[in-house]
Amino acid sequence: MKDKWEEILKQKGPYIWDIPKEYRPGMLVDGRIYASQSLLKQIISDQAPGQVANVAFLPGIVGYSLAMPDIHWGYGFPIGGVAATRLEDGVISPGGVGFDINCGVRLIRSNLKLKDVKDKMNQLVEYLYKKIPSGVGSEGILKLNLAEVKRVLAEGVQWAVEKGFGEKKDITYSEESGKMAQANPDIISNKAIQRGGSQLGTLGSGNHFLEIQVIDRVYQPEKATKMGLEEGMITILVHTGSRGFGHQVCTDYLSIMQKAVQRYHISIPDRQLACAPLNSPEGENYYQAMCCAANFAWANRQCITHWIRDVFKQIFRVSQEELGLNLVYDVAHNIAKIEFHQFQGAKVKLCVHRKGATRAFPPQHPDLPPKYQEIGQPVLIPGDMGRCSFVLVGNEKAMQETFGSTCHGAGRVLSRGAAKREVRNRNIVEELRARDILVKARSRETLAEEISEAYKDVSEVVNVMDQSGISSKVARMRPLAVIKG
Amino acid sequence: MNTDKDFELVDHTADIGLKIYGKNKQELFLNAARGMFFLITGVPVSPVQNRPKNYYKIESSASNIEDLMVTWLSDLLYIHVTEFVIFDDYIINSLTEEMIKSKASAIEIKSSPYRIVKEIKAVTYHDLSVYQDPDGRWAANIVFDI
Repeated sequence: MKDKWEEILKQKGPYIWDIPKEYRPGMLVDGRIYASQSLLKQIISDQAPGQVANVAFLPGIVGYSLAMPDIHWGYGFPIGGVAATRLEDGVISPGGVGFDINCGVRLIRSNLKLKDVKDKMNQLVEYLYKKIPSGVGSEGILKLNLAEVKRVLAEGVQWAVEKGFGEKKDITYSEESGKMAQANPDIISNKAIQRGGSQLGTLGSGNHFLEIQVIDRVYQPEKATKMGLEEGMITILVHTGSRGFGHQVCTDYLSIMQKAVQRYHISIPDRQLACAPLNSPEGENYYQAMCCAANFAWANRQCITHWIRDVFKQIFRVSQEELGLNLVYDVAHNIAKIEFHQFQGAKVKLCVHRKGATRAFPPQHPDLPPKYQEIGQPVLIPGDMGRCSFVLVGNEKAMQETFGSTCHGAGRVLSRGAAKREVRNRNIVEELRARDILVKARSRETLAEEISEAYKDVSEVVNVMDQSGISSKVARMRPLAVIKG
Repeated sequence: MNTDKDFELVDHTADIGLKIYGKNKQELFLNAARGMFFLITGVPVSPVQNRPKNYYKIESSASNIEDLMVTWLSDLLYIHVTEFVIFDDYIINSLTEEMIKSKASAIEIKSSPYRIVKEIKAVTYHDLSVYQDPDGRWAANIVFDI
C-alpha cells in the first residue's frame, strides 16, 4: 500500500518536514526533509521519503536522516541524502556514497566577458569537444602504468599538478586540497585499476557535462569579488567524477558489505544500504578505497581543467595569466568524510555520508583556504542545461542543522524513459539554440534524457537552502554552451 | 506472470530497472544478460555471424541466487567495459543457487553492428529479487545505476 506522506510528515518549520521515527519500527532517528510546499509535492510522488526513513536504520546514525530539497529516488540512500554516523559504534555504507565516488563540480572563472567569446563560441565548443574525451566508455589520452595509477590514487590533484596539469594554487582551491590522505592504493582490486586506469581525463556520459557560462546575477557582490567573480564574467563549470574506477570500487565493496551485514548482525531494510562498522576491517578498507576513488576524481577534474586552459589559450592566443582561468573551487557531492561536528554539546568526530549533497562549511572553518575564511566555503550547484547554475556559500547554520551540508543540484523529476517520451518529435539542439545555448553531445539519447523538464527548477531548490539559512546565494550563471557525453 | 516477454524496462527516477522473465532459471539468467546489453546498445543483441569473436569463460559465485545474479551481470559488465566488447551469445554449462559456469561470445564494439548508447555504472542490490512463481516460471527485478 502506498504511504500517505501528507499524513506522516510533520512540518517543523517553513521548509522543514520530519518523518518521526515511530513511522517505522527500526528507525533510530527521525528523518528530516528540507523542501518548499511545491517541491514537497514532487518529493512525495516517488519513493524518496521511504528511502530517507530507510537510512535512519543505519547503526550509529545521529541527529536526523537528512534530505536536501533536490532529493529524489535513488538506490539505497535517496539522492540528496545526508547521514552522519558515530565512529565508535556507527557504520559506513558504500550506498551512502554511490557508484560515482566523488562525483563533483568545479568552477573556473576568467577575465573574459560575453563580447569576447560571442564570435568564438562555435570554435570553443568544437575544440573542447575534441580535446576532452566524453561519451559512454570514453578513454583518456593519458596512458598510465600501474605505478603511476597508484600515484594518482594516493595523491589526487597533487599528482596532476606535479605532472604539469595545472597550477599549484589549484590544489588550494579543491575540497580536501584534492587529496584524501587515508587513500591506500594497495587494497584496490585489479579490476578497479583495469576499469579506471584508462579513463583519467574523461568527462563520461549521462548527467556529466562541461559548460561555458556567463554570470547573469550577483546576489552578494563582496563575496563574489572575494571569489574573483562579477556580473558579465565568463565561467566554466565541469561536472564529472571517478568514472569506471569509482564504479568498480563501489561494486567490489557492496559485495563485501553484503557479507559484513551478516557477520556484524546489522539489520537494514534495503540491501543497497549494506554497510560495516567504521572500526571493522571491512569498514576501514572501504574508507581507504573510497579515498582512492575520490583522489582519482579530483585528478580527473584537474586534467580536464588543464585542457580547458589549453583550448582557451589556443583560441584567444593569450597567456593563462591574461585569461585568468583560475579555479574558484572544486566540491565533491558523492562522498563520506570523517569530520568534527558539535553534537549534543560536545565536539565529536563523525562519518558524514553525502550522497548527492555538498559540503557547505561556514566562515572561519579550519578546513577552508585562507581566502575563504571570511566568507565561507564556495558551494557549486549545477542546474540543468537549459536553465542556470549557482554559487553559494556555506553558513554556520549548516553546521548546526545539516552536518555542514547543502543541496547538490536540481534533482531529477522525470525518469530517463519519461524524459525520452517527452521529447519525441522535438529537436532539443534547435530549441536550446533558439535560447542562445549551444549544445554538443555525443549521444542524442543523452540529450533527450537530460532535457530541462527532467529536472526540478534549480532556483527553487537553491532558494530553500538560502531561505533556511544553510547556504546563501552569491551568484547565478546562465549556460552559453554545453558539452555532454 | 507475463509469458510473452524476455524482459521489460521499469522506470526509475534516477536509474533504470529491468523486469526479467524465464521459463527456467537458466533462461532467466540468459535473459538478464540480454536485457542488460539491450540497455547498453538500445536494441536487442542477437548472435552476430561472420565477424571475429572472442570467447570468455565466466564463472561467478555468490552466497545466494540473488547475489549470483548481481555478480554474473557485474562480471559481464566488467568485461564489456574493459575489453570494449558486446556479448552476443551465451551458453550456461551449469547453474546452482550459488554458482554459474558459462561461456559467452563477444564481438569488439568497433567491429560490431552495435553502438553503445548507455553507460551502465553498476548492477545494484536495490529492490533486487529473483523468484519462482507458482506456475513454475522465473522472474527477477534488477535496478541498474546509469
